[in-house]
Amino acid sequence: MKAARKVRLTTLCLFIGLLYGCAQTEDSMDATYPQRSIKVIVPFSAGGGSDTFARIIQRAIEDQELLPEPLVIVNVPGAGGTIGSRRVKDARPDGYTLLLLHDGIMTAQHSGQAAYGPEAFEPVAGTGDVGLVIAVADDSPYLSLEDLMEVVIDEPDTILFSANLGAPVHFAGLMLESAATGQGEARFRYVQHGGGAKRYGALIGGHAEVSAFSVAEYQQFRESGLRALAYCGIEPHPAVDAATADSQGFDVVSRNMQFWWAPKGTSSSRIEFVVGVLNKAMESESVQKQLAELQIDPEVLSGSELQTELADRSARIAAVSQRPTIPLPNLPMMTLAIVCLLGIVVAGQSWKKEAIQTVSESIERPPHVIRSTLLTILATTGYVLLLQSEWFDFRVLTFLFVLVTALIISEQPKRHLWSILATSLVMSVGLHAVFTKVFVIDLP
Amino acid sequence: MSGLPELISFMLTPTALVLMAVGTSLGILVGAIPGLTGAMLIALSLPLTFAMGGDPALVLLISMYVGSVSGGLITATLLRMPGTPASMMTTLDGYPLAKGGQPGRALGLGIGASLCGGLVSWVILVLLSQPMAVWSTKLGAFDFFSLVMMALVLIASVGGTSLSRGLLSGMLGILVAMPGASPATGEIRWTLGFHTLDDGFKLLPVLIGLFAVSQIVHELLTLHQPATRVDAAQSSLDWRWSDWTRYKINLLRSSLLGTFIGILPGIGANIGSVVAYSAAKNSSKTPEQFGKGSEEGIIASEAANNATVGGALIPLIALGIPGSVIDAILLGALVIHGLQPGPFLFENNPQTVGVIMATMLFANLFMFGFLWLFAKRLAGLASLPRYILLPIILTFCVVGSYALANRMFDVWVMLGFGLVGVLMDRWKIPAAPFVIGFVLGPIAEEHLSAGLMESGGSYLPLITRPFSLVFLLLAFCLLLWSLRSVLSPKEHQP
Repeated sequence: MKAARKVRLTTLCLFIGLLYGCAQTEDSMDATYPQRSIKVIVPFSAGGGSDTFARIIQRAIEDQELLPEPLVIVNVPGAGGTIGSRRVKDARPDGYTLLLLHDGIMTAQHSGQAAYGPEAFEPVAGTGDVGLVIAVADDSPYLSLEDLMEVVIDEPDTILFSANLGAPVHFAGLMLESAATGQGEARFRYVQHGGGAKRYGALIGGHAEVSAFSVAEYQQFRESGLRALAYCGIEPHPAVDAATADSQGFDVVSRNMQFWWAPKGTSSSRIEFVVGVLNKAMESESVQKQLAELQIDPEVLSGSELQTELADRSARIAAVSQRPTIPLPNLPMMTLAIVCLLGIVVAGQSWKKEAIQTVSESIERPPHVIRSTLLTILATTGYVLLLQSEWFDFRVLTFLFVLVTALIISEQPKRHLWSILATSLVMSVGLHAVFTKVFVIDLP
Repeated sequence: MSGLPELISFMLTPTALVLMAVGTSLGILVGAIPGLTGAMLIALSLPLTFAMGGDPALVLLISMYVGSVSGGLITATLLRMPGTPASMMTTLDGYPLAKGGQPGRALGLGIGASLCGGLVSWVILVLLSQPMAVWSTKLGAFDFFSLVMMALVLIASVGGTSLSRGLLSGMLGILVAMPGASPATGEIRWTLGFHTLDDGFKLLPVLIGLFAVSQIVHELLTLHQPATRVDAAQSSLDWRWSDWTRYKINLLRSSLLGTFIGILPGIGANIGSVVAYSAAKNSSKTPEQFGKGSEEGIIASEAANNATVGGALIPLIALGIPGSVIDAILLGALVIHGLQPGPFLFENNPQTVGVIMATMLFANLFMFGFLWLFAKRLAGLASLPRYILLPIILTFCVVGSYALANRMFDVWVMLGFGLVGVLMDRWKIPAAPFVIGFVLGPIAEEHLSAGLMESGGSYLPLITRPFSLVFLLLAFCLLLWSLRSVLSPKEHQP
């Protein structure tokens, strides 16, 4: 009887909650763009170069009230940016989901890390262009690009190039090779070290001879022992103490531009609107000042200019071919083999033990405990499923979830109803406020 | 330092004091709640500091760092759930001791050891940041691989009852870390065509699943039994002055180990506390007490995880090379505020170096004060009735997993590993080595691959490089030693 009342109470709460939820999501569908906040997916973690850039723009948009709703930065890091880019590729082309991804989108495609490239998106704009710097450690014997490339040609596969495989840095090395092949067979030996700080550490520690850096990274490490050999831009850069690679006889242009992308099929009027907002943001004094500090050119490209620029960059990247790395041990299979071996050992051990002492393990549990455990698991799964479906507001679902699980677990749901209701309310509204307002995380 | 008076007057301004208080307490709170980590708090607070100057921003962020490493000990001790990965080892002894009727003692030991670890690592930060950071860059890829191998062997001695189960758990952890992009080449493997798996399983959802969710299921299944939570309200915090002298060797060793491990890039607070814990266990007179409420175990774990904070700051300020996830975010913060970390930071911005070091000191004192005053009230989380507590924790697990990378996939991973945790619990496979293997596997692979790319495929440098050879020999000795200590008690049995 008690159980029956509990079920009835739970059902009632569920019903009320669902009604509230439906009322919430029934928005009117017409009117102008943007009606709600625009999400910008940054496919790298917070605090990195791309994230910093995105947040500078976001701030300018907020300060000048260029958008009626806030621009939300969502960091979706992983797998060289492809986790985030795939999410935007598959998003609804309604202009509410954008991607900010630099030339890595092209290098990832040409290195085979992603099956798609710029063609899978509608390009919106290119902002803030900056070239890569070819650099060595301060105590390196190579004083110019020519010195270095001479050795690369004479003794191929001996100079260690610290790289982030599949990223623009790696391609800067490949482009240098191909620019030098007129004079002979030039080959670096590429070593995977990853991000800028790690590549710098490899140079300083003597674990590699040369690498490529962004201008911001170069500036950060120059004082502590980095020497530029060449700047891979068209014009020399004021902050880099080296001539362009081109003027040193190597036709290498390798730059990073922050490109904004929309899912394929986004209407051109919405894209134009975003371009307008970006233009105004980039023109603002605060952005200009901050970009100058980061040594990034505050250039904005859109429309046909952007298309030509993209085609040009794609062609340069596609012109060089990536060599397969040396065969590496198949660690996954080796691990699997060891796990199986150890599994057999452990199974053998416990089998022997069981043979000696007969099992008296399973403790009797009262049925209501099993039932509430299963119901809680069910409720949690349902909660996550409904969150994923995005049919209802986060607050509604969380309120219901806390309410329902608390009622399931509680042995006297009626007596505790008020404290449970209060907790549910605090959890749903409070969590929502903390995450969206304080942490600026976009909850489902 | 030239501007010491200026530095002191800056640190004592109301702004700096408020920032430290807010940062430390938020850090402790986030650290105490399973599923929320310091890295998350600091990454998400970074945009809020854009409006501040560089120095106040660093004061806030470093206070959060110190607080978040410390806060985990509360829930680890009273709920057997590590609030952060770094306090995982504290659960092994903190919870049994608290459950055995001494929650105040367990918390007091943890808090006292945290302060000691923080202070010792601060001294080393001030004294050795430059020379030690220069040395650590000399370690090549093969040296790192050997170092990680040594740490992996340590798993065996942490495993608890059975060496084979510990090893199995560690290797399972490595196996689970395998799907996704290869850390060496970026090549995608073992994803069965699911693109959401391209980046593999993330540490946070795996950890929440293994520790928090399986604990919730455990609680649910024992609803009819008296609570397994520990009520600390009745017992007062217990850290005596005599403890400083009584445990001075353990405190010093654990703090130094933690600091040293913190300096090495990529190996953070979790590993620091594991190493210190096993070192304490191996040199203890009562090793059988470890895992059953050993005071030495709590001290080793908590002193070491706090000490890694100071250690990891050394390569960050001296070379601009981050030693952990949080340090990578701090590096971003420095650059955003126009400061260039590296040896020249000492010359160009002595004030900033001073602020970083002073904050580290003050934040540790704040942390100690806050924990001393509020640990039991924070532990009030634990004395809530289960019908309130469990839904709240479940919600945090879901939201925390989601917030990591803004995707529901991680939530499913978290639930999946909850199931794995329940099964492992049933088959008596320890969970700690699993997590350590999970973290170290990719690091080992990354360095081995980089080494092989350097050498053109030759494994020879593993034994020709002096550092690498030393680490491998140490690993070998450790393995022999733990094999011996596993085999010897059997001889005494009839």
